[in-house]
Amino acid sequence: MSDLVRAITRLGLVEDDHWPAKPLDDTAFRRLARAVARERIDGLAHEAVLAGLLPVTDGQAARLRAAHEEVAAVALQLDRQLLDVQALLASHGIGLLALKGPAVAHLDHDDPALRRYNDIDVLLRAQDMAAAEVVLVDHGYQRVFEQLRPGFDARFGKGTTLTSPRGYELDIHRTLAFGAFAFGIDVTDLWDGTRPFALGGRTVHALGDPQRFLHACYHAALGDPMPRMTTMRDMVLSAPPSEQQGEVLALIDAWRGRAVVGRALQLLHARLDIELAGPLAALRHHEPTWLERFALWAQVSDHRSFATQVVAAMPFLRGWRDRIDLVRAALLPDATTRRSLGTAGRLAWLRRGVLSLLGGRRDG
Amino acid sequence: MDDGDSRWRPRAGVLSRRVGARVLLLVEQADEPVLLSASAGAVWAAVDEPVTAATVIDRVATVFGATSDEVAADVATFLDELERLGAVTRA
Repeated sequence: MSDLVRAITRLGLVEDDHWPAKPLDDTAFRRLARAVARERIDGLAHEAVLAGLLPVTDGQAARLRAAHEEVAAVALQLDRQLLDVQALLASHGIGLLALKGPAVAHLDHDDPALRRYNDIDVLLRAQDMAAAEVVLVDHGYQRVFEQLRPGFDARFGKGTTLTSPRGYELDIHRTLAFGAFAFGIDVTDLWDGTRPFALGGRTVHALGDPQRFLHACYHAALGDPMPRMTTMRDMVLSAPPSEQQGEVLALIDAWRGRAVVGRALQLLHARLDIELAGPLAALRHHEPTWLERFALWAQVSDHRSFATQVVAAMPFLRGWRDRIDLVRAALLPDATTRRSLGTAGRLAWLRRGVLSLLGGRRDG
Repeated sequence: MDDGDSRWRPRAGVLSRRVGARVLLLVEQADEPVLLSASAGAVWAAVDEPVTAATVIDRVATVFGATSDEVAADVATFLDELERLGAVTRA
């Protein structure tokens, strides 16, 4: 089954995959359909059928087509949300960059329908985060979690999640990740060389090519412990050609991100059996320092938690003031934040953090 | 009724996705997308810039390996339908 999921994910990337000679039985097909949905490769699975690579019964074909239509319909609604948010924020003088789903779909795929996405992610400038949230809330958006302390999002956070009046998720980002490795990223680099794409007759800007590839790497390496196949595919599709990798390597070093990209390339090799060409490939063999290993453990191990990530971030922060303020935000968040996270009392919050550091409990 | 000189173009804000041979279309005024048939989807795809009906007919005929005469009536019908949906306009 995993070979078939991998073949579907590699559609259009690798020519010589092995496909089944005849349709799967119903039990195996149901397992495949669940895996396809989990890995968000619905469009690719349907495309493999249409290309004559994946043999299916009529019923199985109808199920894959229906799933593809459903996720494509959601993508259209999300594209509209992106245009609406862009227009709304622009009317208040706030610019944004599209991240992940819509950007990758429209810039890196010949056919955007092959890239599924379930939410909208946009990048804002740190100084615009608070104003953007006010504008969005005024127009019916609701914040999912409160920030730990006033100003936390703009200074330390990756961003925040809101839900739209229609129930779709909108993530507004300040940077590409949270934790140790995020503090190496100069967020002004993210606004260099942006790439435009057309959407519904309008123009939306996304991260530039090097930054978009690095975002895919950071998402793969620091997001879920086992990233989705679609994230792996994003890495391949956004990878710069060998002759243009110098700019990416310079950014990786400026962001102190060798361990992150190294882990992403290892995952790419393990999950898709794909190795990128060019100088970047060597990073797959990067040997992390002990601090990098600790930071990766804090972010993606079974013991990962907010508390472990704060501790692991300390050596990566520039200056004692940032360290003290981050620790204070983690130890003494606002009461409304504690309540929204299900831990009302200050002592209970501290106990929760200590337990998570000891590996006894996840704090999310 | 198309007078032959009109140029058809997509309306701003219309979003689309190809799903196999068919096309999902979300127009600005609608809450939900509509699913176009393969034929209507081909007409939509042909109106990616301001074009005359004759050009749309030629493009659709090429897609389906048919003559312009064979597809002309259907294309005219689909253009009217797309206009009614709010997906295309003419000037």
